[in-house]
Formats: sequence, C-alpha cells, structure tokens
Amino acid sequence: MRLTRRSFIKGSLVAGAAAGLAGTWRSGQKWFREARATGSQPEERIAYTYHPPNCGGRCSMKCTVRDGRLVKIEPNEWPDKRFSLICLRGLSEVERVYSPDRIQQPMKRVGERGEGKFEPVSWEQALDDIAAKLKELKERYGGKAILFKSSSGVEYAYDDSLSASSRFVALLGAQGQGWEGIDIGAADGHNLVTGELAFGATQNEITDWVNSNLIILFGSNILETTMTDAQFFFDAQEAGAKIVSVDPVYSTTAAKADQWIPLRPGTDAALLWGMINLVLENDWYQDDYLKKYSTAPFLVRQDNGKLLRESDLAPAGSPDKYLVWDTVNNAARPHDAAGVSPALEGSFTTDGIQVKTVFTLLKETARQYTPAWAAETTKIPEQVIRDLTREYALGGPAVLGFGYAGTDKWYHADTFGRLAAILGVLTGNIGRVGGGVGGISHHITAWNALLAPWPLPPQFQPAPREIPFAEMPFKPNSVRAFIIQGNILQQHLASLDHTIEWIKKLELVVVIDPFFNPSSLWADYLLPACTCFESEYEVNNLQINRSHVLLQGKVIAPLFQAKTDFQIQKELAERLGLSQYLPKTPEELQRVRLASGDPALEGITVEALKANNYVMRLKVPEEPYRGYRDHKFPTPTGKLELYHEVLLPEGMALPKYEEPYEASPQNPLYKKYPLVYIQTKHRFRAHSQFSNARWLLEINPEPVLEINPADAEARGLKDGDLVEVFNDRGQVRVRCQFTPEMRPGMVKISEGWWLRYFAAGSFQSLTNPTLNPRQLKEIHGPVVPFYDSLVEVRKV
Amino acid sequence: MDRELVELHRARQVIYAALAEVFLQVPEASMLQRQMGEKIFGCFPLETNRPEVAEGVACLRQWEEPVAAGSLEEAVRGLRQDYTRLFMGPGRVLAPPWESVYRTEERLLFREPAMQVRNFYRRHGLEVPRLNQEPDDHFGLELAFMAVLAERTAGALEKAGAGIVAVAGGEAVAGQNLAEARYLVEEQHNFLREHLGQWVEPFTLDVERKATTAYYRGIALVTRGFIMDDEEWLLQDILPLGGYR
Repeated sequence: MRLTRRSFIKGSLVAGAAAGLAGTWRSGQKWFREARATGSQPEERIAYTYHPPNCGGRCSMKCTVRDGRLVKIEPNEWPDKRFSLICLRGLSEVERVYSPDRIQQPMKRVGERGEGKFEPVSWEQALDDIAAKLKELKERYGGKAILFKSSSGVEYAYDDSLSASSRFVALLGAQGQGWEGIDIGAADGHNLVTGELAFGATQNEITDWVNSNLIILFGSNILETTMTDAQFFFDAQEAGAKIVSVDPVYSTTAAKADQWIPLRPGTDAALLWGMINLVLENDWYQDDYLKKYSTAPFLVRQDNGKLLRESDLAPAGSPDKYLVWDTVNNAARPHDAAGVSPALEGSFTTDGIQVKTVFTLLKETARQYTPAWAAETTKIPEQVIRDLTREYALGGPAVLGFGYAGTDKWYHADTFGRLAAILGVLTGNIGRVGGGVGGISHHITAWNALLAPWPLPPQFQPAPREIPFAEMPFKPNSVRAFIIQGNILQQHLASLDHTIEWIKKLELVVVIDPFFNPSSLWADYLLPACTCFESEYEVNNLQINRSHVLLQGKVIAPLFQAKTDFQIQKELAERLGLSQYLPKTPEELQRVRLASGDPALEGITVEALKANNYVMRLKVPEEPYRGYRDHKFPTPTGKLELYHEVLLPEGMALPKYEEPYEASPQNPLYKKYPLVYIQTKHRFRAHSQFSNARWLLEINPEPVLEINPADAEARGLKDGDLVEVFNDRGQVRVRCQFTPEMRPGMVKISEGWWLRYFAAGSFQSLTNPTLNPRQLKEIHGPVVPFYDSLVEVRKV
Repeated sequence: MDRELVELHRARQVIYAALAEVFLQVPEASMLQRQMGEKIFGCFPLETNRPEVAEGVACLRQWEEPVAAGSLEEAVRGLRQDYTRLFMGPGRVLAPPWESVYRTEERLLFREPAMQVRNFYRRHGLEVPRLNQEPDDHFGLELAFMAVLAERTAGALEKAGAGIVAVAGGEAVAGQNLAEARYLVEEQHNFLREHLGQWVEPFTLDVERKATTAYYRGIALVTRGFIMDDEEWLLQDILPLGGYR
C-alpha cells in the first residue's frame, strides 16, 4: 500500500494513540439511534389543521405529510364550498414551519433586558425557574402580580381573550387582559347603542351583501385583510350593490369600490354627523322603526338630563321603567304599557318636570352639523355627502361597515361607533335583510354556537383587572410577572419607548412564540411554541368559524423542542401543583367544549369531525346569518339606545363631534409636526404575524414610509430616499415611497413590521398612547389611539 | 503499514467525532478541558498541506493561551454566547447549521438534502433520535456519521489484518472484511462528495466571518481544511489505486 502525504500521522498519535483518543471521543454513534424504519417507499398521509386567530380567514387546511414532513398545504373542502379557500399567508406556512429562524429550545436571558443575549436552557430548567418565580410572586403579592396576554396567532390563549379554553388566568388567580386596547374603539360606542359585545357586529353575515343596494365601508381594506371574503364583495357588486369606500387612502378596496371618498383622516364622525343631519332634516328616518325598536321616544328631563322613569312620577314606580309621551292619553306612560302610542318628537311637561324626547334632542344636536359644516370638516364636497346620504337613507337596504383600524385607532373612536349605529337605527338598517352596521372584517358575523368552558372549581377566579393594559406602562399597578404569548409589546401598546421602560422594571417576562418576535427581545425566558401544524397530541384544538366547526389535528410532530401552548400550560401547572384541575389532553377539552348542549352542535363530535375532513357545518339554517331580525337587543332596555346617561358627566349623553385628539390642525403641535401618521394593515401580514415570512419578504422586502409627492417635494425628498420620521415620542428610519393615491398631509407605514426590518427605531415608537378616560366606562375600555399621531419627516 | 492504515482511520474517526461534538453541543468546561488536554485541535494530528488547517490551529492556539492562563469559566461564557448566536439564534441564525438551508433555493429545513442524508444513515443502520423533529442534516450529525464510518472502516481493516499485507504485497485477497472496508470508504467518499463537501465551504465561511471568538473561527478553518483534504485523500489516494481489492 502506498503511503500518501496525508497519511502521516503526527507523533502524538503514532502507534495506538488514536485508539486511546477514540476512547475519549467515543464514536459518532452516540448522536444516533438504531434505524427503525427500513422501507424506502415514502409514506404519505393527509392531515388537517386550521389557521389560528386574526388572519381574517381561519382557513381549514388540508396538509400532505410525506415521510413525517409537511410538504403541501391546500384548502380543505368545507361543506359550504365557498369557504374552501386559502390565501398567500396560509400557502406560505410551509416556509414558516421549516424556517431556520425558529426558536429551537428554551432560552434564558444572560445579558441586560433588551440586549438580546440568550443562552439555551432545558425545558426542565426554564419551567422550574418560571414556576418558582410565579409561586413566589403569588405568595408574596397575590395572583394580581401575574399578568397574561396573548396576541393574534395564538389559539390556546392563556388570557381567555378569544376562547374560554385555557383557564390559566383563573387557575392562578392572575390578571388576564384580552383584546383591550386594540380594535375595540368603534365597538365601545357601537355597544352603547346596540348592546352587541363582539367588535361592534350588528352586521349580517357578509354573504348577505348580495341583498344590499349600497355598502359603505369606513376605513376598511377588506380585500386585503379578509381576502377569502373578497368573493362576497364582488358577488354583491355583480348583484347590483354599489360599494363606497370612505378612506383617506386609495386602498385595494377603494380601487375596486364603485366610489372612493377620501376624507381627511380622523373625521369619519363628522361625515356621519352630516349624514345624520340630512336624514333628520329631510325626514328620511324610519318613524315606526324608531318608535318600536329604539329609545328615540324616551323622555329626557331637562333639569338633570336623565331619562324620565316611572319612579320620577310615583314613589312606588319602578326606576327601570322608562316613560314615553303617549299620544293617546297625552301623558307620560311606560314605554311598554299596553296601547301606548309614543310621540317621536316633542317637548312636554309632566308633574312639573320639563321633558323632551331623545329624538328631539338628537335633532337639536344634529342641527349644528350641517352638510356644509361636514364638508368643511371632512374636506369632502358637500354634494358628495348629500348624494351619499340620500342613497343610504332612501335606497336601502344598506350596509354601513367598518374595519378595525381606519376608524378605530383614534382617541374618539367610540363616538364614531355610536354615530354609525345611530345612523343605522334612524334608517332602520339594523336587523334588516341586506342591512347591518358594524365591523365587517374576518367574517366576524356568522352562525355561531356556544362552546362550554372547561369547568374549574369555584375557588379559581381571575384577579380583577386593575387598570387597562394600555395604561400599565404609565400608572402604578401590581404586575410583576408578564407571560406573553405572541407579540404584545410592539403590537398592542403605542409609544414603544415607554413600553420598554415599563418592561425593564418587571421581575419576570416570559415570551412564548415559535419565532423571535419583537417582544422576545425583552424576555427573561423564551419558550418555543408549536405552529398550528405541530402537536404532541392527535387532536389539538377546535373553533367555530364561518358557521362551521373546525377541528385542528396534529399534522407533524413539534419541530426541535417546541411545545404546544397546551403542553406548556400543563407542565407549568404540574410544577404549581394545579394540573389536576386541567384537561389531560386537548381532546378531553374539546369533548367538554362540544358538549355544551347547544342545539346547533347536535351530532358534532370529535369522531364525527374526524370522519368529515375535520370541518362540519353547524346545525343551522342554510341562509346567511342575519342578526337581530326580532329587534330585541342585549341593552338594558332591550332597545336600540340613542341616549346614554352614563356619559352625562362628560356631556356626551348624546354624542358631539370632537376633532382628533392629537392629529388635528387645531392642535398647536400641528405646527411642529404637520403630518398625520397612520399604520394600515397589509395583505401579507395579520398584525405582525408573517412579518418574518421569507417568501413574502421576497416581494415586500422592507417597510416604507408612504408619502404624497406634494409633501415629499416640500421636504426635498426623492422617491426611495432614506428618511427619518419623528415626533417627541421617538423616531424611525425607513425609505420613503411616493404615494400620490393618498391625501396630502398624512403619511403611513403599514402595520406589524418587526423591529429588525427598520433601518433604526420602530413604527411603534411614534404612536400616541393617550387613553380617553370616558372609555373606562365603556364595555371594552379605552382604545389606544395609534393613528391619532402627528409626525414630521426629514431626509437622513 | 497495516497498523498505520488502521491508525489513520482511527485518527479520522477521532477528528470527525471531536468536531461533531463542537458543532452539536453548547460548549461546556469539560468539553474544552478535554480538547485542550488532548491537544486535539491545538496540535492537529494529521499532516496536511491545507493552509486553512494551519491557520485554524493558530487561531485555536491563540484562543487557548489566555484561557489556559486565566479563567476557563469566563471563556466558556464567551463561547456559549458565540455558539448560541451562530447556530441557534434567537432570531436570524448567523450560520444555520443545516445542509438543506445552504443547498436549497428556499433555504429551509428538512428539504431534499435532509432526506438523502437520512437514507445514507439508514443504509448504515442509523437514524437521528428525534426523527422529523431535529433535522437529519445538521452539520455536526454529518460529521458524526463520518466518524461512525471511519470507526467501522478501522474495525473492518483490523479484522482483515492479514489481507492488507497481502494487498500491499500485490496479492489479491478478497476477504469479506476488506470488501466491507472498501464499501465503507466508498460510502464515506460518496457522503463527502454528495453532502458535506457540497456545503462545508459556504457554511464554515459563515462561521468564520460571523464568529466573535477565535475558537469558532479556528474550528471553522480547521474543519474546512480537513474535510476538503479528506475528500481528496479518499478519492485520489485510495479509490483509483483500488487499495482494498
């Protein structure tokens, strides 16, 4: 045998030395196990999952798994084939699941918070440490010291925000903050009128749009945010409905609509007031509807602004019985008394008390908001307002829909929601085929059914919420540990620098996510979560969406050391001595949830779902869901309420027009920062989810500041220049992109971009964190006015 | 002579196994003490002309010197940080240690290379312990696989001891163990040619450029030099000669 130059072994290894070292570095064998599978034929199977919350679709996905790997995602077949769809975000999931950027195993912070230095630790150590800290904090300060919050993309939410499935907050007696602060501003006001809880949806199912003559969309880019519902938009147009987009931005939706009304940002309420004025002045309202279904004929005392009650006139009378002016007897009588024929309008005196109907007061209030005033305020031609109102009031049935950002992320968003609902009430468009007022994104209204919560013994109760989550960075509170699922810190709070200051003061921050999202930077422990494709269990989750029950099965085993949110909760609970109160498997939980006794769930079981592609239609009528056809509303009076005593101290028992809090030319700050700064949603993301999807980044590689060329040129900017956007709260650096199809005087960066994609700063450093105190009285609490922000732009 | 060939494969086994450990394990004091004590990298055991190896060894010595004199623990902390950032993240992993990432356009995990590597492992009765959860084509696992095959080659050659002499003397003795050794060497060459050799360069360049410690820079250089050398050696010096016939 020939010796080669390479085959000279150096002195240290000559003659048997290698054998000795081979003992030190035992063979590579220890990194492997004996092969179990021998067959060379690829094994292929089909599995089902669905997309978790907030992508607007909740698409059920049919997945091909070859040799244990997810290789293809297709739309699942639904009983109602119109939902057998999937969008780019769903299709791109193979890329996210197998992304090399996934968090592989638990990590522990080793540097300062925010420094980004982590070290891998075992699950045992991470969970032991976290459990010990939670235990200590709970013993010392009570459960209120522990805060849970989850963001979009999290199905098994510990804060119970979107599903009553986890119960972790109750189990620990901790504080849970669900969907407070974001996407609930308009719903707050809408709820005052309608009593409807979820996101302002006294809206018919979108499949009912074909029965509408006119659909007005306020600040909604539904064709991007809920792509899978785009078909219903076009179906409606083909059926003859006119679609109007009210939006300062020429969005994809505006481009496809029949009319675009580019109002000044934040003045949607002024447009509504102008419309209400026209409806009232021209007698375009539905007299009968108002008398029967609303509090319009209720009487308001002129001495104290309160509604007139039976107890005001007779000591034995009920304080809950509201009076109307009965035209039969010409006297104040309970609104529900037999034979009453209420006056809609008028000023009366009874028992020495001067009263006016709610309707009359509304009319008096509306008088100042003339179409000319509305035109001046919104910068829309008066004739456009007049035509739109006539079409809406007289050409119905009509839909008045809004998204969850455009009209929502403003300091006075509740007023917008109230006015939208009031306009719908005046024109009889609530509880009407082809009508509806409220949120229209992500197919929010459809047939539904009650899922039973996992039962816990009565000693387990959540701690009362101290203050709204959005106030926590600014006001003293008990929170010392914060368990975050998903991306909360950059996504749910404005003015990121303030958020960070607060976070740095906490004793424990845990972030659970498959990826290193922007919240993770400040975590003490990062726990790798499974995506919706992975599970330790054959059955993983379940939800009702688009009138169907969707089951989520295991598609593949967890990648690296990831665990499901269910499993992480279970293993933490074991360490806290509480696991006996929780379901042993997700399947056990789903069986309990399905056994609620709701007749719409009849025949729907885990077995039946498995036998039916993991998706079954609820046992409900074939027709589109249409809410409140009986015109009974979950308000204190059971009627559509136009007057709100609760806001008397604020002088807002009837709404008044208010300029945007910050983003108004009337604000002295406007001289320094003359650009309104908004952050619209984007078709490639759902909030900040998919920000790191590389396939999507290929076509949409970096955030840009969109700016009207007129504003850009006034600042000496060229298209594509690197610019700094700044105000007193912070700054961000991005490239600018000329966008002529947007009003001058405003700029936008699309929402959700992770920190690392900006040249410096974050889009969220600039946003306005000021909360409207009156909204503390409203159902969802204050909305964070992300859009109600002023900035200036300069070239870097 | 026969002994030397066995020793040579044992040496290869040791180098592959030691490097595998470096890439597969978050550094710990005991691992580093072992490496330093045995001078496994500080005095690279095989003769080679590759400048990368010499340069890498220099880096490793440069790293070792202050460590030997000062605090090992502090050095380990630095290495753990470097290891984590290079191979684990969180966030963008600086040198993603998986063949599929380097060799597919999508730069994703568990693509075709991982499946091909899996088939290689299976042919030799091996499988990664957490199949379909941990990628088969981790750089360290591929090195470990080479260590296993080198070990088996040495074993087969040892058993066939007499046969080797016969080969050296020009007599063809086709014992079963020799055939086995030849097959194993061919498999190693195939594996280097089809897998490790396909991405060792871009991967170790990433490690070299992005490492903050001289240790991982040195490891990257040594690994690149060694693997390129090993592939060449297996091909040029063994296979054409038919040394094991």
